[in-house]
Amino acid sequence: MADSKVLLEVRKLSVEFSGFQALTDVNMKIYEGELRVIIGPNGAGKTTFMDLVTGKTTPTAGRIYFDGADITKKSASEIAKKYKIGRKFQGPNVFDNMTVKENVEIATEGYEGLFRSIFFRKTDAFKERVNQILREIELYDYRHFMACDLSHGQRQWLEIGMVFAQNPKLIILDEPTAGMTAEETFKTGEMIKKLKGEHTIIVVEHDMDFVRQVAEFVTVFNYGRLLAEGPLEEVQKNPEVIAVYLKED
Amino acid sequence: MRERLKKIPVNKYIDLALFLFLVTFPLYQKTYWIYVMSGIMAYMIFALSLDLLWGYTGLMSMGHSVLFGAGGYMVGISCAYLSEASWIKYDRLPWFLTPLSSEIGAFIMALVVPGIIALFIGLFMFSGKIRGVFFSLITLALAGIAELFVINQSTYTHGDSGITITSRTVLSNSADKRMTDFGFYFVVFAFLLAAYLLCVLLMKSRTGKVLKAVRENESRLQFLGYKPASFKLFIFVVSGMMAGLSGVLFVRVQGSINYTAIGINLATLVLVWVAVGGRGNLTGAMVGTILLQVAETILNSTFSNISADFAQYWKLALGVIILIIVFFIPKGFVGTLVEAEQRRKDRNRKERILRKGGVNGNG
Ligand SMILES: Nc1ncnc2c1ncn2[C@@H]1O[C@H](COP(=O)(O)OP(=O)(O)OP(=O)(O)O)[C@@H](O)[C@H]1O
Ligand SMILES: [Mg+2]
Repeated sequence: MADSKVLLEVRKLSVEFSGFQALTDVNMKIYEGELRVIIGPNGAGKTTFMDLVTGKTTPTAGRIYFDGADITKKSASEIAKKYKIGRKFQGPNVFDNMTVKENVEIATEGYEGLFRSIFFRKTDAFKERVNQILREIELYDYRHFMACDLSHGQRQWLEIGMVFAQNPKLIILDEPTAGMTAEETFKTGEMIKKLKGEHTIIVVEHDMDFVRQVAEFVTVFNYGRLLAEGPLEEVQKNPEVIAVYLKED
Repeated sequence: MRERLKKIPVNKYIDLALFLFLVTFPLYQKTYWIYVMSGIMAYMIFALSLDLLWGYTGLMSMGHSVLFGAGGYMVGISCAYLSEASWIKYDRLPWFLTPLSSEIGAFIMALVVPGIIALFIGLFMFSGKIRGVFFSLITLALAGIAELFVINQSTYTHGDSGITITSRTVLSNSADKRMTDFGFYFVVFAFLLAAYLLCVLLMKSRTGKVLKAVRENESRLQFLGYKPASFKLFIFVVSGMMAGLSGVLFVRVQGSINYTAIGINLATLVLVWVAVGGRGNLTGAMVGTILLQVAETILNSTFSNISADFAQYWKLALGVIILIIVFFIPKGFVGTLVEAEQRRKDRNRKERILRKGGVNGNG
């Protein structure tokens, strides 16, 4: 991994919400093609970290570099469109009163500007791409359903599919398997493993079976700090990590 | 063929029926009703313009009449100037209104001025991240301000007496040119049809889908690389120009304009039409307008026939009926119908998926 390129790097990243220090001096590097799993107890700052990377929140200190550029104060839409970071939120966050297909179409990259959208005509390639994503997330049969009529797990898949449709360089998935059955969770794990190598992926998860299924390299957050980092087997043996997070296992 | 017909949503059939009804209406009606229906069709364009904004994009403008009235007043001022109305004291129009001295100029101004007003309101609101109920309240306040503004600017607007418009044509403002009620009905009808088709095309396009996404989950859209503000600005300007057009047509039909056309009264009325008909499918906006305006016309004449004192109370009765409708079917008449159809289709699809799963084994 040492010889591959650094895609995302954060340096001394901190954020404070009116006196509450949610993230403190986080340094982290994500390499191109890597699948990184972030774990940590509730409130550790995992989601906050993603908010910073995707431009939802601005850090109080520190810098974020992506693909060689400083993206620290860029807007969310610029980070998504120009730098190509795609994000799935914690808890499905989709367009409820629109069909599954419309959701995927909206997410499909390349037509985000106003003028391009006005003069947009669906090409065969576009339709094929949308259908392919619908099949990958196993929602092809459900494409005419409103997103709000899907099951919780299906909504999670829909949002994962929307992130695929963005064709991002970096995919960020915040608890993608929350609320899924064991079978669905396993399928999701396989879906994500298939993407490994082609895409760079950061996944936050609590489900340890899932983590074992997909993870190689793991970062552990605790109280807004980076507690440990390393291959899964190593981290699992780390007494500090066991004390704060893995003890229930 | 049958499959394709089945795919067409139920409200498109209503649209077709509605336009067939409207195009044949003057053939068997008396002039009075042709005149009334012409005004209603102008209002339908207005309701469509609000539906783009409120129904599709989720921007509940409570002061949409400002744009309707701005269009109407452009024609009003032009008419008064060209026909040298007796109340006019000024010699020349101010520089920014000079286009009103030509007939084509007045028509263009009636579209452009509401567009510019919408642009500025939009720039202010959307770059300042004003959303939801704040957007509604500010637009409501603007309607109130606009009403006072046209009353105060009496040099050009003739204050609260308003302006009488003597011509009834699309463009001309000279008093001697006047189309018949019958003829002008079809002019308004053509504009309504064009406005409707424009709305259908726009909302079917990707832009339309993005606007729906703005309504559903604006912040999520940013993380897909969109700038919601530019889309909102775009639809606000389009909707504003359309409202301006409806203002022009209405004023031409009615033959006068005063502050009520720009104020809170009309702003609320159009909200009610769209709410009763149902938001976000175009049909509801048109059906709501026609139902309530026809009801108003009939109730108005029946009640004033009974006794003059009674005339004030029919509005109260209508208000109560509207409240009941909105309470029991919050999606409006057409919205409820469309939803029921979607439900039925969903059930059929689910059955089909289950059957398929059964054949393929577990699934
Ligand atoms: N916008 C905000 N304003 C104030 N406090 C916030 C904000 N966002 C996050 N926090 C706080 O920061 C802390 C970290 O939250 P975060 O959501 O990042 O945790 P997490 O690791 O994702 O937890 P979970 O596993 O429960 O999702 C929490 O205590 C949370 O209350
Ligand atoms: Mg979280």
